[in-house]
Amino acid sequence: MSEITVYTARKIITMCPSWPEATAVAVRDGRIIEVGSLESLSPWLAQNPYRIDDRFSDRVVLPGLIDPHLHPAMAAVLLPMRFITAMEWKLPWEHIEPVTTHDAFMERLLEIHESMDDPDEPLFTWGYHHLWHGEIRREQINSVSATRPIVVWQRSFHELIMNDGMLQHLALDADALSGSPQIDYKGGHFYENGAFFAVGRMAGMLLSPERFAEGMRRLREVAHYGGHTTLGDMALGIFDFDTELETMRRLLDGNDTPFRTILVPTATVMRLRTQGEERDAREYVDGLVEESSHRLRFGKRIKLLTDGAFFSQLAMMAEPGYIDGHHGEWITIPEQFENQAREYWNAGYAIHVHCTGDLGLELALDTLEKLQWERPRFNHGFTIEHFGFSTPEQVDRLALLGGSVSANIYYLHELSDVFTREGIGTERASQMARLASCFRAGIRTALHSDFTMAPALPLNSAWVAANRVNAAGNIMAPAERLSVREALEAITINAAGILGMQDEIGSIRAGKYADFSVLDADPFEVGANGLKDISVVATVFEGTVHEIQYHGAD
Amino acid sequence: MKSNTMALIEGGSSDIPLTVLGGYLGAGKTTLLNRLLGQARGQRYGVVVNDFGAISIDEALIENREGETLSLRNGCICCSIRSDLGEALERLTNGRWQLDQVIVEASGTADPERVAATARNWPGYRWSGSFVVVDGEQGPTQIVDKFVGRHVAEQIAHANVLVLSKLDRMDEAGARAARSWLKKIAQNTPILKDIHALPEILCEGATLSQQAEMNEPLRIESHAIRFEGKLDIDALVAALRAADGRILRAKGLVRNKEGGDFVVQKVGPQVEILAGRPGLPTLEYSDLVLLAERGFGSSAFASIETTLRMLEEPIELDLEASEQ
Repeated sequence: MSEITVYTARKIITMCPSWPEATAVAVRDGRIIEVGSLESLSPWLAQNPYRIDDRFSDRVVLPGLIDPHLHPAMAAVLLPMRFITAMEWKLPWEHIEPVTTHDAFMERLLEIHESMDDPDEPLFTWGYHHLWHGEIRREQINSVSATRPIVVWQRSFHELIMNDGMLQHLALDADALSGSPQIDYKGGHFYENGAFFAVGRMAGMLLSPERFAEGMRRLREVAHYGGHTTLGDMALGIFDFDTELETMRRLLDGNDTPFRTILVPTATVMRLRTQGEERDAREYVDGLVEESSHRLRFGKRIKLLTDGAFFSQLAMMAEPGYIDGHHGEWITIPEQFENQAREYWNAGYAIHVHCTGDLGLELALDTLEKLQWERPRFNHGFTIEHFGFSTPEQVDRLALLGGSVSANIYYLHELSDVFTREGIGTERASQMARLASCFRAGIRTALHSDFTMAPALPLNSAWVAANRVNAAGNIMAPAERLSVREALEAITINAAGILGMQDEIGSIRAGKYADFSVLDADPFEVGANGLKDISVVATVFEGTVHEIQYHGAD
Repeated sequence: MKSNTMALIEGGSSDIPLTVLGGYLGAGKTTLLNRLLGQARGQRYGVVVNDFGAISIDEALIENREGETLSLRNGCICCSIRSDLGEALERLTNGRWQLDQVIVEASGTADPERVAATARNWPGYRWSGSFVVVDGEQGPTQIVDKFVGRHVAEQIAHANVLVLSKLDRMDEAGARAARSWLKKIAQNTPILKDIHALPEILCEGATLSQQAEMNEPLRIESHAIRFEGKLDIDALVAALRAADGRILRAKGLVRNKEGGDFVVQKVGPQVEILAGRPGLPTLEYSDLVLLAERGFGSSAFASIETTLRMLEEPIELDLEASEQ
């Protein structure tokens, strides 16, 4: 039997209500054998070889943080780009200060260009927005370089601007682009369908094996930096199932990866893959469990989607809908959604449903109610993912039906102000992600980043959930704020439950994996306001310490 | 007459005509597409579907399969969208297919207008309207459904031509009720009463001449008119608009009185004028082809022709002008 390692800390927050605080935790073979104090651990230490590791003795230890919904593959595409953005972004290799004027944008672009050795290496930037950076077109980028292929990508991804170098590189000339009103060739500006067209032409560059692998390595750093020890890939196969799985096996499955990833495929992608009925797809997914490794695990979990995206205002809203009268879109046609859900429900799966609008949620609830009537299940793990707009009555109904919530609270921060004016009005925009209601109703409620939709920083998500401060500085529906304890539950034990791993991770108690996030401050001492400023200084994954190196400005 | 029609098709532009086929789940889109692909008769269709699952292509007809693209022995191509319509459209403009017409199947709740917004601007394509299939049996229930009612209503509102399906499964009274229900909500959008006529309309008349050669019964009637003198393009547009509901489709290569050559197209209620025919020799005549459902066209054909003949620029004047 291996040696015991005892980690001591200023405070260990166990997230186990009946044994809430400790100062020492004993670990053997990657598992916790007891949490308490050096004194209470003494019977173990008297009979076994041990060593005491006191490097965290002035730190605060939380259970390893869990993000139950992000997209490694999307992150792998975005992260190799250089960020020039109006918002602050904390990334492990750089702490990106906001760039909020045209001149500052151009200056930063020039700096990046001049820092690159190979004059032909393409340069992609992400984060441009005309509200801050003014008009940037081909001519302005050419003034930085007309020869290096450069793309300036807008924050929303719906538009991009190319310089001469990139147009030449892609062999795009005016003739090839005539007739498309959403391409301004002279300005090098591609928007909406023009941007889709451009992405198609750049797919070879963006998804090249080397670049994708580099992006996946960066995702590994980002996840570590945020303090995660478990991730949920909540749509494996978002671009290409085989490439993603192969790249993750190569880069996220070794001993240098300080986290495990739960892989959840999407029902629609699996159906396309098997080219058959829902049943054929489900039987294929059944078999994927055999493909699990220690760090990359499939389970009986499936991702379904109801309605469209938040950013593009395609969430399906019940009456009175959007102020401008447009309405959202179904991603899955309601009948198809029901068929998919029934197939996986009857096979005993936990179903994760992407829902953004309250009508999308209504479809998920109607379907769940129908399935419960047909074939009742308990502890079924049916989870509403994102959980944008809802009514109080829907929350009650979700509780009665035994559902869970995994929310992207960052939308409240980034979008609620805009949505009050240009979306659905103040009443409903204020109550996006009504999480305190969920806690009151006894619903298992967790937070996620959906990275790259929000920063992959669980303590930042917890900060939004506990304060409900939006980008304009307004507090939105204060009655829906979580307490610090609830916010921490939402990124630890409740998030573990969303992935069906509550018996193995999410709290610090005897028998669980020795997964910890080590903080430089006590969340209860700094309070709700201070949560986002806490730094994670190290993580422990299955008993092994992974220090976090700071490369950024500090 | 045939060569005239073909000249119209070939003369417009090298861009491929593109149609969106919409309609709620189960309305009959796939049945139509299967029919179209199975009976193409020399017309090269490119069909973009959400997935191959529903399309039942006779195995004997499949020549090759490369990932998301099926090529058929009759020259048609079928490809699935997966996530990106643009990518599928790019694949189909690949020169080796030489397609005559591309049809994009919109998913069951998609607004054809939104699909069109992507498709109609795509380089290499020329927009030729959206057709929406409405389920004659389920439609009245679907349109008040809590989850999809607005989508079904919007599909109907944004169609250029509506097709009412499943009438053959209903008794006469039921079919009549379905027709009058759709007519009431469709306002001025033409409703195609015989679903089997759709393939013929989709291909802008080219199949007409081919089918005529094969002595197959036509469900569409066409009328081709040649004008020696220059035409009043505004009058043509007005006449085509006035004939809405009777003329399903029209296409003309027009020499305008005010100068210049134009391509005029009518799909459903929309009449579109495309400027010029760059790189091609100037026209010596104006040619117009009108399409209507069999039995519904002749009076409209006659009234449009009469109107235009009245306003046609006398040939003598034209000659004088050129002598000066």
